[in-house]
Amino acid sequence: MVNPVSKAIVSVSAWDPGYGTNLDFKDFGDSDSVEIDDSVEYIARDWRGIETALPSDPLDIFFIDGIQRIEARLEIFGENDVVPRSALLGAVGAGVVHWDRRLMKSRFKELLHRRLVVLPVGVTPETLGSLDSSLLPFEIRHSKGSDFTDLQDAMQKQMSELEVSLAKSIDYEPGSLVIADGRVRRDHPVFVVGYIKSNERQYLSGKPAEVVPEIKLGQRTPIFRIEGSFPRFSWYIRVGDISGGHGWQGIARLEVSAELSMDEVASYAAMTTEYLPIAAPPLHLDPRAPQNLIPIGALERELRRGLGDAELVNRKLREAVYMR
Amino acid sequence: MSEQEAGTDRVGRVVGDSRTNTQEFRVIVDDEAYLAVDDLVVVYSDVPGLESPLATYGVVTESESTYEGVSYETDVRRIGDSGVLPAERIRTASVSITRMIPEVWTAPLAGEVVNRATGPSRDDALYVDDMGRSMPVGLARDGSPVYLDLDFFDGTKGGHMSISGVSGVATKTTFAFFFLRMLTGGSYKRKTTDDHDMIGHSLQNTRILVFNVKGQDLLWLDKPSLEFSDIDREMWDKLGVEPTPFQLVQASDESQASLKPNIPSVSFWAPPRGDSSVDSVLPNANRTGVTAFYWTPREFIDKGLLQYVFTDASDSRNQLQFLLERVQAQLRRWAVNVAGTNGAVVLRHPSERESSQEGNKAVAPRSGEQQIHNLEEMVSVVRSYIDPDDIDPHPDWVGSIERGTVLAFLRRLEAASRPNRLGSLVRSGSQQSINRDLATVTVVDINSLHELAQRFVVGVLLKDTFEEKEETGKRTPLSIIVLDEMNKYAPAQGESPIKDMLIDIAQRGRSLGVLLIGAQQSASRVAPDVMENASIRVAGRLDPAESERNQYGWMLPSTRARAKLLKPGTMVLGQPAVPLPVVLNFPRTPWATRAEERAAETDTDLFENLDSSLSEDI
Repeated sequence: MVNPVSKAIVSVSAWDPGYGTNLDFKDFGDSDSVEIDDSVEYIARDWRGIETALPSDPLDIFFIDGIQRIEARLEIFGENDVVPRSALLGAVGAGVVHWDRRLMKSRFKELLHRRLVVLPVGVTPETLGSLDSSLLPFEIRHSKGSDFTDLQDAMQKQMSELEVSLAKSIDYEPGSLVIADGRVRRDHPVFVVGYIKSNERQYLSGKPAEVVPEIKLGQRTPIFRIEGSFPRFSWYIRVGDISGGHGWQGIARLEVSAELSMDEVASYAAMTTEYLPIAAPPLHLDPRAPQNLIPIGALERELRRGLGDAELVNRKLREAVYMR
Repeated sequence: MSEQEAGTDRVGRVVGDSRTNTQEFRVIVDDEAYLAVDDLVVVYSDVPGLESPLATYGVVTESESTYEGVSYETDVRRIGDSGVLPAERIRTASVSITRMIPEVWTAPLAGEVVNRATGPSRDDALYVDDMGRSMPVGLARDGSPVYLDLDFFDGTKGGHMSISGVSGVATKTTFAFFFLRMLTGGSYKRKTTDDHDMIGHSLQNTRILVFNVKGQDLLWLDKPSLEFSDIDREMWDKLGVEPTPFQLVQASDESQASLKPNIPSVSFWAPPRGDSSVDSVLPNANRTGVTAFYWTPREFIDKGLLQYVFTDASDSRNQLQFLLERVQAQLRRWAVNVAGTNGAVVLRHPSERESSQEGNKAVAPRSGEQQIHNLEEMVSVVRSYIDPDDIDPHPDWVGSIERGTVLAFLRRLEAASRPNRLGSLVRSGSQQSINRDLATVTVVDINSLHELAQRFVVGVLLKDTFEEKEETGKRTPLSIIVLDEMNKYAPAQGESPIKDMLIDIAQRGRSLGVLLIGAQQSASRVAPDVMENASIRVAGRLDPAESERNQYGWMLPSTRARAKLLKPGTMVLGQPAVPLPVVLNFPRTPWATRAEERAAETDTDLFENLDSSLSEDI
């Protein structure tokens, strides 16, 4: 049987700077023109650091995070092609850490990994027919375009889907706290609290913006609302005290879906203000301290380990491509 | 492989982050399992070309634990206190490989299932299937017997046993007697044949000679122990020997009719009191049933015991030895029995003897002849020949030996013949030498004797035992000699007739059926010739510095480390049939090992009699 597509030649791009790179695209998205309502809790001139009072101790705190890694770029040269087209071999992983406050013990609850080949639009899976997937099992996904960034976006989407599916699998009970690393998304369950550790994007201005670097450990800012296609509530907390640093060091931002009531938001805000500083690493242990929370750091390490050795994966890939 | 994996004995998997090899591997232990040091494990690995999986056996040499995912030591606080850091606590174990079946030396595969070796696989791990005749010598931690291959003790393939350990904690002598009780209490047949095993049967006729060197520890072998518990009885049951004390035989018992079968017997011997002419023994033994032993001047001369008076390392100077041999030869030529007193002699030149009184026929002493009833008198008569007051020494006795040597000889001889040294051991009277055929175990108590006399007794009895076997040339019945403080009798440095004899026994005794069980605090201080010939090696707790010496090279490094911490009742056993040291426990003995342990048997007897007499009256 002659199938013109199956005669396509797959090869591994000899060199690519993206190999083995661990990408983190989490805090992009909001456009500069996003509208902020800084008076949902306090009016702007009353902004100050707020001490919180916990209604009850959270019994379970969950942390969700995902990672991705580009393993190699494939070149597919079909019979009718003039130039070879790029595909991406990558891996994504996501997991949950369950911090049981009764036992005072954390453990990895779920660890999921996927190895993926992302094909550019218009290329059929049969093209990879000659690739021996028994050596390196993978799943096939399609991107919306054929640029390399389109392929990367498709990978990113896979990771997000894994994270969301994990969030949905959590047996949530009121009083628990679910922290997802990065921004909260529309498809997240409403109980998910997004944890953003970088402060590159400035949301506040005027008095509120001045208050943020002033808050002390154990305080939060008033809650503000981020409008847009997916409205959210957000607040800042201080997770670590850095003597000698500038005020924005040790500040993290949290956000939840605007579907929640203000009481619910305040409850989550109180829990994060109280408990996340406990999970912040001492400065000397982590270059991203104190914002890079210990459970999230451990989870990323564990997930990355689960992806396997990048060199070995590459060797297997070459074997699958060339030793067929 | 699934067959083995399904077994309930699974304890973990072979660790794959480092290389396995044919000497060792590590195990990641399952959450619900554990592995302790000395545990035995087996791994089955597929090897291309082999019909069945390769079985790799090993012994756990170290047990370890860590948190996975920890990069800083302080991380432990974040795991243990707030619990904010997720981490996995794991147990691992290091295993030293001891055997492969079949003998295809291929490393166990990383990731393979590790099983606890139990039942037949445990026997395989301990080479029990390779043993000619296996005898239990203790229990492993899991309560199953540890076997010793008798072929390597009784001389078939090897012989002798050496027991090392710190005094007081190592329970060396107790182990030796536990071993002997097992040896004489059971029948251990060769597995490979149905024939009656000559040696197996003759074990019960084995003759054991023991010197009680320190305290009175060995004088209670026939007395039940208060400390013997039900737990000990259970252990003996597992070992297959009925735990009874040895049964006492006295020299005065003519019939031995009261002896029960299958229980080894024991006789006790002690030197007589120095100041007494009657046969009372042991100034400090508050026990009965001990027989006095000594040698008559006649035996002293005939057996050539004089050389055992000169057992100090400094006595080996050539001239002194030369004179000693000359005096010994003359004593033998000149001695004539004195009529009326058993064992007493006079010295008379052979040419002066009446023709009718040739040989050992007793004579009446002539006037002027000094009778020799003890060692002091013998020394006095010898002096009159080799260093007389007014006349020249007798040429037959001294030859051309310098006077200085003669004086040195006499000085030593006189010192040795004092009553508190050898004096009480040589005397005329009824025959009282030790009868080793009386009982299975002959305990000779020399703890109250001067060191010189101790060496004399040991030397004489070793010689007797060895010569007897040399004459018969038969290996059976076996003759076993138990000697504590081996470093004193066969020291690593220096020369002495006893050391020579012990080396001779160590080298040739195996084929003659004379077997040594030597005990010492430090093997490094015993003559290498003696140590190296011991096939069976046993160690109790060792001094830390001692355990590092190459005399303990038969142990694994982990076993050496543990040997510093062993408790009484725990020993390490090394034997040629099993190329790994095995740690074993042995039960308390049913007999007392100290005076305080004795059960008050006489009291109960009294009450029993009282009861019956009372009931008769009523």
